[in-house]
Amino acid sequence: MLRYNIACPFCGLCCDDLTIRSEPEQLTVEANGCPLSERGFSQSLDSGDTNQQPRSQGHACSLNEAVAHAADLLRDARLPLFGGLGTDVAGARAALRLADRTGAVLDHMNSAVMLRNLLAVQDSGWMTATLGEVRNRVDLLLIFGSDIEKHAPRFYQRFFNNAESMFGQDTAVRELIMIGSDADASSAPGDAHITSIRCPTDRLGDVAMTLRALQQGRPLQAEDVAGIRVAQLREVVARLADAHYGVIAWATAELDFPHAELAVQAFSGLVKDLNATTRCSGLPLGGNNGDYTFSQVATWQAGFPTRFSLASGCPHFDPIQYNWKRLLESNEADLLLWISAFDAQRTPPSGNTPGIVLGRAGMQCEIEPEVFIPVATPGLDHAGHIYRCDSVVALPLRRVRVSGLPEVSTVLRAIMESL
Amino acid sequence: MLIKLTAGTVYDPANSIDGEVRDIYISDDRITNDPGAGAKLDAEYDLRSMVVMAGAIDMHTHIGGGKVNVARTLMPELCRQAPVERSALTGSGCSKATPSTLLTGYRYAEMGYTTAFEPAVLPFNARQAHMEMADTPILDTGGYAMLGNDDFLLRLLAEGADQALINDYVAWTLQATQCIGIKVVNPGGINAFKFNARKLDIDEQNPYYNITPRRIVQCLTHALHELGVPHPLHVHASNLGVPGNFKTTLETMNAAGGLPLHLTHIQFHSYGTEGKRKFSSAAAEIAEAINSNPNISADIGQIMFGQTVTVSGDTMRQHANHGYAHPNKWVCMDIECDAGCGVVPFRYLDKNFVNAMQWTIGLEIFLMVDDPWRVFLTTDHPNGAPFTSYPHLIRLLMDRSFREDLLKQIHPEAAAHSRLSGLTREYSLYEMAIMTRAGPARILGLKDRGHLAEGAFADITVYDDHPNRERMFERPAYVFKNGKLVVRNGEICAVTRGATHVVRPEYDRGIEKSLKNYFDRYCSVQMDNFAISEDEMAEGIGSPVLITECAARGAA
Repeated sequence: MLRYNIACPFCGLCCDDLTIRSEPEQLTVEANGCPLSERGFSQSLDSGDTNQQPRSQGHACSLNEAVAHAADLLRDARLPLFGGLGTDVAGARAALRLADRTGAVLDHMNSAVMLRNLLAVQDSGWMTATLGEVRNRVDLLLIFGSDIEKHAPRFYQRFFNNAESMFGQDTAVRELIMIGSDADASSAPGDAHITSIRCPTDRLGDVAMTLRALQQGRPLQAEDVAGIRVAQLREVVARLADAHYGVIAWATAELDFPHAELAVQAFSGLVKDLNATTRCSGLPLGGNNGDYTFSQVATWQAGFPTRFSLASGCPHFDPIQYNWKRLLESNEADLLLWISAFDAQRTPPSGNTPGIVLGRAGMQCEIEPEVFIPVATPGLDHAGHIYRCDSVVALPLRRVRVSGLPEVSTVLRAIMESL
Repeated sequence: MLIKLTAGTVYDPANSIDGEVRDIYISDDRITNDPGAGAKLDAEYDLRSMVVMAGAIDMHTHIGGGKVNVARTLMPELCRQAPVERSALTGSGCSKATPSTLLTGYRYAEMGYTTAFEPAVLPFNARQAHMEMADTPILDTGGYAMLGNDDFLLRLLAEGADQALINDYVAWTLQATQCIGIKVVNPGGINAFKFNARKLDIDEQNPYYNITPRRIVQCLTHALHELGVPHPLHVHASNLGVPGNFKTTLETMNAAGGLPLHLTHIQFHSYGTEGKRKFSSAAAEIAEAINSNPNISADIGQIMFGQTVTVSGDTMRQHANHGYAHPNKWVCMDIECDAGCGVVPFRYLDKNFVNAMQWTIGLEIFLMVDDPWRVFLTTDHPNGAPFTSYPHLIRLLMDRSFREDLLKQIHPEAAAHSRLSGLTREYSLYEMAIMTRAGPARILGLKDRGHLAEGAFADITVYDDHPNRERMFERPAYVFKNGKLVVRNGEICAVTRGATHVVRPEYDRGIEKSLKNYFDRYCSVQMDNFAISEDEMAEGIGSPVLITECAARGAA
């Protein structure tokens, strides 16, 4: 059976124009796919053993038994950590409720990446545009980094090389400037007028700050920054200032260096400065495993996006203290509840903290957790909602097959009721 | 379940009851007539010397949708300052300026509110608005969809489309976004800002479509009137916050051509340019215009002194005001060629001349508008102040000496310029019940809310008749939501879930064909996935719909 206009939950673009062929044992992306959606939709339900059945201490058991065991573990835990959190809106709602009841810490598996944007916003705000706005308005796209398509494969196709725009713009003459370590990569779109500027990834913030200084007309002693001639950067600034609607984009996951939030802050500062005379917007790209979804729901329910504790009875946010990796490495958390409903490969970290795992069916954990419950994948096995990387549009996810697996929210509510 | 509320002093303006001692009976979720002597009561509440009103309705409060979450994201320090612990009944959260959704529901209910409307639902963000409101316990909610900066409408206007086609688009939008009304924010101005315009007055043309804000207000006013949508166009006028903007506001009233029009947070649109600081109150001119134009209604958007965070679709004005951000950080977003979002934290200071004037201007309008059915108690939460300041505001309106005392504390020149000390009016409980219950229900077309006659839903608030009206209104003795006791002595005693008020005006489905083509060519979302269904509201989003009737009038 073919299903049309299906939304894909496997990256932050959440393309909702996919055609999915649904067969009992296999889902296939028939149209409008990409490497991430093809991998996501086709991951097997079953890796050949009993992965569709819950396990308790390694032994197959009923869902009720697994839930009862999980509730026992949560009841006894002094500081439970809810990690992973790869789930949809309903799963995030249920996780927050259970965490509130059990006094848990919540931190999404992608929090280190998420915080690069969040810390910058918390400190100084930003100006951004959503994907639909970019698609119809951008005339100059500046990308900090060179790996957009790895994190958002259809970005250029859907939002830069789109055939038409609302305002009669000839999209073929849109300009693209890439500043990054591999800036002449083949990932750049075909027809655009491309300028590639090579620069080490961890110097992108310095480049953005130089662009800000030049934009503000400040005197600079240096003749080159991060290997780029200042004269060339001066030209970039002039083009941004001349653009009617510039967009400055970055794939947040690519900014994998210490204090990358300062780079994001510099990108955002450049955008704000440019808006004194023309229009320009920032565009953070990337995201997966429901990271934007979790941070949205957590922010409206608890006030904080990730890395917060409910142990004291009320939300307490600390981006250092409540880092899930730190809590596990230091053994401060004595129980891990790991949720990964989108990706069977995003397994819980191996370590000695006992775990309850709600994993996409087929997940193979390195160390057998105390409780393993295979769960349904939102957008494949059940309907739900997921957020795009612009944090504005929430797409409805549809059920495209019948698996009989329980939803994350159902399992968490059952645990709650068993406490 | 039969409950008797015995011998309370009832204020029910929709039924012209002004402080009469009466019994009220609740049968399950509705108010019922006296069932007779033989009826077996499940519960009885002795309300002698207590004040009984319908549950309050906030017709303009930003409690859902992306901008509120952006504000929370931008301002973690506010959340940190006011964490609230969970209890056996209630969840944890934070309560300052932009409270978390759970706390929003609890605090509103604890103040006797049972319904609240989010006035700025961006169509592309409607799911989020409804999801947040679904996570706001106890309250029934609803939203006004934003139009008037969206490309589709402006394109129709630029092409000279028939009003009938515009009506179809408006009706389709209401259905697709599950909203109860339409709001326009800085008509055409948010859109113009994306083309780098920094101001747009009511008769200036949008730089791309060559359409004026006046024309946008006219066409949407007509559309809602002809579709029979009860709530008139909800207008956040052009030039918010600009000295001298009262002229634009008066012209916006004129644009309605006598049809119903609601001007929101009118305090921010009532500024003159008199005096050495070129900033003055035009409250008298605005109040006079409201008094002499029965088609016009307004809510105030009163400011209160203290830290808050302003959230608005009006990116043009929010960007222009970002220099006033306190603390110095702010967000502006361009959204889906649909609208925008601007978030600027503000600290209103009583010793600041402009802020003090804003405070007096809001109060002046409250006190100078004669008809309480056409003025509504709002702070434009959280823009003028958080909704939690309503009891304080009520006391300001009901207690002249309290008002005089506070007037002495503000910037002396602002106090000297203000007419406030000459305004002797004190709102009565009856008028307060109009402004916070009967009036909002009437202007939204809610026939079985906001009053206490047989058949109405049993949303009822009971207050101790405390002479300090702030104390009285901040801690009701009892609040019933759909007949269930949810608040006792100002504290939550049961948590229920609300529903969503919507309208479903009839329209010609032919518009969907043009819309499908439009979505396919330009939009980032498929039309199928844009529209929210009733089932989705009930299940995934978690707030089933309640449909308010429309009476189509047809083209004039």
